[in-house]
Amino acid sequence: MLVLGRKINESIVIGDDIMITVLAIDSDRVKLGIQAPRHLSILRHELYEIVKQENLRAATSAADAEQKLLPSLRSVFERQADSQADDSSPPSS
Amino acid sequence: MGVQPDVTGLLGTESQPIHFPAGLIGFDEWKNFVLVAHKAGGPLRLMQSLDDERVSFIVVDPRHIVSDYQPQLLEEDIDALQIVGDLEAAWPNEIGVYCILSVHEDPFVVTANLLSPLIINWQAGLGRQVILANSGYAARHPVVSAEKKA
Repeated sequence: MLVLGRKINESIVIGDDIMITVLAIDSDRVKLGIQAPRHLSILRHELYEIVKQENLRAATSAADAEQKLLPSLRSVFERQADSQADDSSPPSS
Repeated sequence: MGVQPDVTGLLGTESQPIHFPAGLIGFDEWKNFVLVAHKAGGPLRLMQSLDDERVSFIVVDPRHIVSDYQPQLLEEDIDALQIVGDLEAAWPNEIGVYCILSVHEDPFVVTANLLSPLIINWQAGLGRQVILANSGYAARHPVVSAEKKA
């Protein structure tokens, strides 16, 4: 990990397209401004980790589910559809 | 290009290819997907990667789980997806919203990732996985828990 010290309003450039600026410093918190191409996602690390882990978990579970569990899974949503008196969200095509 | 041969005989209609410029969170190499319906209908979709045939997800419109589900998108998300106008009005015809399901076999437990849904702009052929950071929605929202197994 590269470690740099920055003061308020100072910036860091990553590659040619990413810039991170220190906007404010509180006692235990720094506010950062980030400019980056919009195809890159910019996320708080803890959220990134939660979602990444969940994506991985889901991807590895899908293979089994497709064949062995699909009937059980489908019936879960059929039961819910039946019990929803107001089916305001029709199955999309 | 499309889904691998349907060995299960279960697959129905396949959507147009959807391009996710940022890929999926944590897996930015998975950038192209199709959504495949089940032959017998129903809201479940198989989201199949066109970049890696081993990669697929089971997804469903989250309103089948939480009927008043409301994704509040950030400006960057709306911009990246080229969404114009009100999301609610465009959902589900112009804009698709799907949450990824994790399915565990034994015990049979299903959870839905309501925290980071997939948003699809059908007209533009673009998709994005967004994170609803302050929504209170869970990454593992229970859909089926073992105790309720039929």
